[in-house]
Amino acid sequence: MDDNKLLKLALDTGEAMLSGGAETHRVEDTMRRILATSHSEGVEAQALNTMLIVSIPSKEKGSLTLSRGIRKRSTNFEKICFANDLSRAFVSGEITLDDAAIVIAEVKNLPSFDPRLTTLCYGIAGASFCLVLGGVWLDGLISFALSFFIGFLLWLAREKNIPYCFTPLFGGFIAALGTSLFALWLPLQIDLVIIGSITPMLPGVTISNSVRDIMESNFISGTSKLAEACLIAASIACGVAFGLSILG
Amino acid sequence: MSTILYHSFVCIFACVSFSIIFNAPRHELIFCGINGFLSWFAYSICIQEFGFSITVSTAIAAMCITIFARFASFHRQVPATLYHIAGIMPLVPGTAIYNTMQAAVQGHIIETYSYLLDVVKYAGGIGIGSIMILALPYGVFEVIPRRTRKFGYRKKSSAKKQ
Repeated sequence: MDDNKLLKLALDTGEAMLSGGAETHRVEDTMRRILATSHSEGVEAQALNTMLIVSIPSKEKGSLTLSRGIRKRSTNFEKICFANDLSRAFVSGEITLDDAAIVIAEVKNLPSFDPRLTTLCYGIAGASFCLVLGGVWLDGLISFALSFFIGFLLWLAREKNIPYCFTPLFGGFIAALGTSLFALWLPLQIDLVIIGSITPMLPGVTISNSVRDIMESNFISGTSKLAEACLIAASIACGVAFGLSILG
Repeated sequence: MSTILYHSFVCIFACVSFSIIFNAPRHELIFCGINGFLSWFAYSICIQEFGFSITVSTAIAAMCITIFARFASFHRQVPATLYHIAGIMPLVPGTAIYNTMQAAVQGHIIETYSYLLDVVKYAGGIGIGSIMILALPYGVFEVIPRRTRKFGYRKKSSAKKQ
């Protein structure tokens, strides 16, 4: 079996998982299983927050190592499922190495929901959290409108490759400013509407993955994800503070 | 009790919306919704009926979420991350972050640190609750039948070869 092809398959699968938001332990385990199909010992697979390193001992050429930097990360469960299915099928022998190397390139064409549906779901999520925290239907409606607009801005930011720490700032600003404007005419519970609107931007996935990584001794990826989560939360808080200070 | 049920029902919509935002496969959305219901229900019951503190309630809710996530992932043959994250979403501390920001802007130092500690309590509760169930071996969750799935991406590759 071609060692280079196997390494590349493991890296591609690990990249699909990591850029889909899987936790470090799962990525390393998947890559190790793929590499272990042809080498029983001496296999190394390391996954950091933005980097993957794989290494196998090759008889002819000594040790082979490949690394790759992961620049674009988001949360995309379809990618995680796809990579998981592919690695299971490859390890159990259902699919050969050459076929797998072709199929992994399909990761760009995975089915995804329409961006309009996604933006609508930002609105529904914001409104639902406003209602859960004790708001009435009017609060939920304003929160729906603001979250919908914030979802549209986030989609625009992804299209234009705007840095990740800027969008929460702007989103928090829009949420606070919009709520203050609406509160001039309507009887709103300002706190609940703002909290409901900012909830879709909160780094829940990042916090949960970082705590899990730290407790499984992946300290580098855990603490870096914790720093990212703190930065995003602080950006949201600053944006909301700016927005509230304009209209009081 | 009826408020708790109403809020948990609304949480279903929230968690399904988050799963759509995160591009989950279509057939798993119902389980994400059930996990959302379970998460807020367990958290509210612990806080209101039993009177536990924030950390303990969040940890117990996170344990319920993770147990359901692992059972469902074994049955559906899908990584547990999907259901786990969809269930965690209602527990993430939005209110505590907002209160921290407000207290900091108004200059109340003691309240700022108190709300900041709340944020840490929520995050720590989620972590502790999740890790206690995630550390269990795989065999504990193999009691329910799994559905059989074939790897469905082969057709595209053979079509491409032609």
